Amino acid sequence: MIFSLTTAALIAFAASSTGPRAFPAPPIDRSIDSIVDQHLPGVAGQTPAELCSDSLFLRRVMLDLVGRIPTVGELQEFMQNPNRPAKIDQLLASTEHARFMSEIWTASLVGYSNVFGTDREALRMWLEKQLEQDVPFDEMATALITARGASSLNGPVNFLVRHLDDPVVKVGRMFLGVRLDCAQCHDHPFDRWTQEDYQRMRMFFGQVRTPYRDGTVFVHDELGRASRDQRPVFLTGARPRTDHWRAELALFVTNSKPFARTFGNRIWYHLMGRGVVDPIDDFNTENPPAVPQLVEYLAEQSRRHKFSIRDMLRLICNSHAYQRVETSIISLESQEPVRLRVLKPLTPGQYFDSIATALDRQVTAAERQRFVQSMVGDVLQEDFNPTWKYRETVQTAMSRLAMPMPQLNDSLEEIYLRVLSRQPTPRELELCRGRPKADVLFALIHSNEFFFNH
Amino acid sequence: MNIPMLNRRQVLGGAIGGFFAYAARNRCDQLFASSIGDAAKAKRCIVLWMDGGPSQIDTFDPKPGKTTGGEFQSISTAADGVRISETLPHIAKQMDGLSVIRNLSSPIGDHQRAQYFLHTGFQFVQAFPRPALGSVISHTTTPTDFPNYVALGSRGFGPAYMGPEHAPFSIEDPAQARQLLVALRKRRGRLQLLNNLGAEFDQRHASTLVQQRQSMVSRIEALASTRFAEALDMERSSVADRQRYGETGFGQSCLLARRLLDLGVRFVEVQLGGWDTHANNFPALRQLCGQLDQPWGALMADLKSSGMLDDTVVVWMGEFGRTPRINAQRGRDHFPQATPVVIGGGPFQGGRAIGQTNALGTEISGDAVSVPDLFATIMSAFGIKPGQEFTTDFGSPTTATDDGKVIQGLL
Repeated sequence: MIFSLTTAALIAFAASSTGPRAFPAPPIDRSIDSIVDQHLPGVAGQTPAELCSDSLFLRRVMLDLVGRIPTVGELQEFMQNPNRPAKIDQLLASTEHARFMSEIWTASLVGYSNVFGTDREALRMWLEKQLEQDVPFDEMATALITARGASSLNGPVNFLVRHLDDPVVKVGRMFLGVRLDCAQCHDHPFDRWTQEDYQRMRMFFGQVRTPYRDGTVFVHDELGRASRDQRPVFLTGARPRTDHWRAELALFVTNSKPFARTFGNRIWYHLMGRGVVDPIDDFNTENPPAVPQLVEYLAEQSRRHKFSIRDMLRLICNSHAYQRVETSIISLESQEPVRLRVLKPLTPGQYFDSIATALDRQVTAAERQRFVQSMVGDVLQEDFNPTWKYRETVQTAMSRLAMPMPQLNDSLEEIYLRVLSRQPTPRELELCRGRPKADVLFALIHSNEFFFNH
Repeated sequence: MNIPMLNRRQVLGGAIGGFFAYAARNRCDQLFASSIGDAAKAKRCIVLWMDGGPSQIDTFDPKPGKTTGGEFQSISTAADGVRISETLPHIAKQMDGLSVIRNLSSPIGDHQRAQYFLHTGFQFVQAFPRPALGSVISHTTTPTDFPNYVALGSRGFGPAYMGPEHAPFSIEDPAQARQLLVALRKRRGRLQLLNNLGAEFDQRHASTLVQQRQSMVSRIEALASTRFAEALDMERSSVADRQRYGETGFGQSCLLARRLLDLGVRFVEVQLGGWDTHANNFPALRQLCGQLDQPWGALMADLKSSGMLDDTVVVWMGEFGRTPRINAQRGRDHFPQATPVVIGGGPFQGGRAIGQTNALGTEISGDAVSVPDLFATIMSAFGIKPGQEFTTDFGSPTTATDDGKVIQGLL
């Protein structure tokens, strides 16, 4: 647990990293910024925030792309050659990236627990494979909507298995950003979707049969004749031409404009913590985007990049909007500054992996699973949010705070670099003077600075 | 009163006053303020949860001598005319304080969905999470430094729009939970350092999330200073008590539940699992009822002698009943059509049998009551009207129960 690095070397490189830096010359698409910049407070006579420091950038982008904070070694290496676009590319190509993103997508698709016979891990493994190969998201969506077979064998089937009671509601939220669930009981108050629209959409899954045997759900379709009013109708009024209703639905969904908008907005949300339209699964006329042009631009880029998740992540990570200390814009509605990028609580997985990185500990999959479950709990099993939100209960906080801290021989500076990827301030050194190292480590691991991606 | 649906642009365009009036009318705490107090008779609730779905015929709706009746005889109880299974002799003596509901019918025969239904009073709808009964009842009291929804032996169900402060505090192992609290007491210095070092970041990034997480530390410090940890310390209970409740897991949980109710915890659920008896129903039931009978009897006796039964609602239930038909493995399968519930304490009369099933137990004779009716009944004891409105965190108003009606026969 002792670093090969000397404290002097650490201080030297960290000192050079403080303060804003000029952004390296771009071969980079600046369109996002040219759109966002029109709405920056600068226009109203204020200065927009500068780009964040290299060390903060590394922490931010590693949490977002590989799901953990940097090791002291990685931090040191990056500070010697702080090439941000190259770092983004390197992270996107790593196996850690596919693994991490598979967890993020699994949580958005089926939540955090195995309810109703869902095999989360089978789905996650399938997603990891797709992400490794950068399979276009429209293909993935089609596979998820039309999947058949056994839940324990065929990963994508589990999307449907998790949402068997009403798959079209989740499909609407996930792939179209439309909340059909409100139309379950009443016509949507703010939008044009009616109960009839919902019932017709629901029919797309009317052929699905799901026998359950020995812990596995078998999904298949029973194609048959249906009278005209029992046949599904897409929200646009389009009707299927064949008997393969789910395949038709997948085609309607992935070719629609809302699909591209929702996809672009979802990637933005992952990186910025807030959708341009937010909540991301509620596009409606009464919930306008913060920057309308930006939603359209992201949708257009999504199509141009053939729904490559990796390309979209690269595009946004390279923008100043992503890399500023903070990015606020002037809201069109209220004329007040609103944050485009917000503090993001770490997901249970990010939190665990970051603690393991900070403490330089080898951990087992079982340990990780226990930690994630304790943080999520069955309490959230009915959670329908797009991704994890901070909702810690007293009890989970207690078990977190009671976690034992290892004994370290590191200096205070080293502890700060390990945990917060930065040097302590003189005030912090003063506060820590004379305290046991384990207490300092405890205080940093449980600090909000550690727990949020900022 | 009809509340006009406001469109958001109108609100922003100047109808701000109207918007706030609308919001104020829908705030739960305000609604509670007007209805709690005079109507509320109960202060505490304990639910004994029979996980897996208990057989009604082998417990509280015996059919001795019938083809569906199985292996147990019925016995008379402290309640005139109410007979229950011979496997529950201690409870038989307490039936003057408890009433049996024999006509509760539910449409759900799947474990997970039925557990959700019998914990929330609403059928599971993915898009609309419902709070557990414990969270709703926790919400009817002013906040305390200790949790007001404790689940013993299970994880409990989520608080949904009631918020994380009404989440179940679930205890698998009381000794371990107590050690955790004691350990945190000793970490005071560390927690102080955490607050001091974090202050700068927290100020710079002032937001609800940061404040929430920061205040968690003070909430834990407050909890550690209450007598909650002492209540968890079973060594502090008398040997006589421990013997009366029986030296079993469920027995000790019932004793712990009583200690928590003594402390003032509003809602406690104690779980006894193993009721999913698809095979070998009768030896299993004899054993399960054996585990249930003595501790529950001791709990009832204690609540009665201390006078606490007057304001403590006691509920015994599981996710559904079991088939009258005995299958080839000598087991009984899921039968939500007759879901047994026993209820007493607080405003509820003991000694009654509500509704009945036919001679073989295959159907309810006469009127049936529903799961929402049961929830309306339990909530009414806490001053919550069945149609009372709550506002969800996603803005949609909803009622306390799914159109439930209070079961009058219990009052």
